[in-house]
Amino acid sequence: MVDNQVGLPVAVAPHADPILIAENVTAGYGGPPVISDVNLRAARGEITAILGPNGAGKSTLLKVIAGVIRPTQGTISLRGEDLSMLQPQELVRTGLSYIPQVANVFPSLTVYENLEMGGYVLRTGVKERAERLCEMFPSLKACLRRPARTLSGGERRMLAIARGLMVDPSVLLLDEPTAGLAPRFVQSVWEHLIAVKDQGVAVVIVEQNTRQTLTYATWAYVMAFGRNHIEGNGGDLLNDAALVDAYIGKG
Amino acid sequence: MTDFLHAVGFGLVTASILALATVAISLQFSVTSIPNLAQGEFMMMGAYGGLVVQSVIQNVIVEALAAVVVGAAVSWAVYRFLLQPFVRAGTRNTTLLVVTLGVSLILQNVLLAVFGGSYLQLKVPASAPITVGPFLWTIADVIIIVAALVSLSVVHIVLRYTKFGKSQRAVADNPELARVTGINSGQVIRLTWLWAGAMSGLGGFVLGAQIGGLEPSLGFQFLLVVFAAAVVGGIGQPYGAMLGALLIGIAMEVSAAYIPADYKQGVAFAALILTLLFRPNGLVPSRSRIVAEA
Repeated sequence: MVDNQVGLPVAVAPHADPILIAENVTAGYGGPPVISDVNLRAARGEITAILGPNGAGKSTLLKVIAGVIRPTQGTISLRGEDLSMLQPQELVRTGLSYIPQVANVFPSLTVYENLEMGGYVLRTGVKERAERLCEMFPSLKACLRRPARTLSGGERRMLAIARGLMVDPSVLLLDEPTAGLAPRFVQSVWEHLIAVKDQGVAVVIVEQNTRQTLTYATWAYVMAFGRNHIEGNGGDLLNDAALVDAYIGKG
Repeated sequence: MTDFLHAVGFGLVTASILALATVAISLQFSVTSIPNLAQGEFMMMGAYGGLVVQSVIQNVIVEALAAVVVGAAVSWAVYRFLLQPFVRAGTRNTTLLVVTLGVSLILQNVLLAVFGGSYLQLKVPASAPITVGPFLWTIADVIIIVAALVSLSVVHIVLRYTKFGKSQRAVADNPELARVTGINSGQVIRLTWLWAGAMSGLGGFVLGAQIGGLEPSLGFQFLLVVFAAAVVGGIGQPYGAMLGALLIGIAMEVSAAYIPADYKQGVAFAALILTLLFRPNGLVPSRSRIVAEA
């Protein structure tokens, strides 16, 4: 565990072979930068969490990685290849899938059409992939013909995750996938993410629900004021509750 | 009663013309959110294209095809070379409304410069009115109705069953999400302008065919009624546009059976206001309202 601000030695991340690397990323929305010099590494088969108080720049970092915002400085690379010149719709083809926090399904499209659009860049196998995801998310199977706007909040979140998995991504980026959900849905979302991780996907998750997140995260970054603040493996951070509470409050 | 049914028959013809233009503008607006005041000129550019072809070969199919091609080309070019740079620069849609008004005036004046301001005859296959069920139509009327039905069926099939149509609806729902899902929103939007232009060109041609001639400002006058139909249907709702066109078209022609035809446009807007009093978001409420309520 490290506090970069005071120059303690940097802990070696357990993931020696990261697939996704964000280095010294600075970005914003035209005004002063929202995030500065942020670093992040994520490996396949691990859940990497980005935590921190509101306004710390967590979602902004995720948007930069997803190509929605361009960094003013720094690089994002996937399997060693620089992604910074690619448009979001091209990033999907490289194996990166992003699920925004809100407005993450197409409300007027049916559940099945949402899955089809999730597989937009696939040339073949859309139907087979959709069938597999229906087995993973049985609650969707019953409502394939319904417009997504008629789904409950929990079902909608499941659809958003399933949509993101249509391309069989190697990196799955999720912005607060459990926010505002009933506890049983929160548990279900985590179970699905763990299953996805176990299939060898690098799961990168922005979360507020800190304690639960640290329980499942292989490695966690705590951001504050748009910068990296603390990082460490989930268990260590969880045991150092005083430190975490100071920055993110009780989860 | 016979008069009434005949008026309904004329209403169906007007509704068909209106539907082509209204569905085009609704489709375009739902996918791109740009209020386009130049659409009446897209119609006229297409119609004059048909007129030019008519001076060479008298074949109504070839003429209509020319109108489709010219309408599509003008619409695509206006978006690609004029509106898209504005959109990329982050121009607001209210500003774009004024830009499209400028395009409208420029195109009207181009037509005025090339063809003159006088009314030019657009000849269509003449026929005595024939009785179809309770309705009294000319061959041209029947062709107009069939052309509209075919075009609207194509819209329905594309939107519901093709990957392109689904991606159009996805972009209409949420362009940002569409992009991160891998959809090339820019390409979908350009093709939508092309398609809306094709339907507008055909609409302009059948409008001219029904009236029997063209003048440069005809499209702009007609656009007012198109907007009424689009708003009645629910803005940006292709299916609502079909309903709105039907309602406005029939209201206009039926009124003409009882009061002077000069009031047709007034009747269209009276129907618009009445509809909005009872259904403030139109017959088919727009998607964003539904989302806001959810």
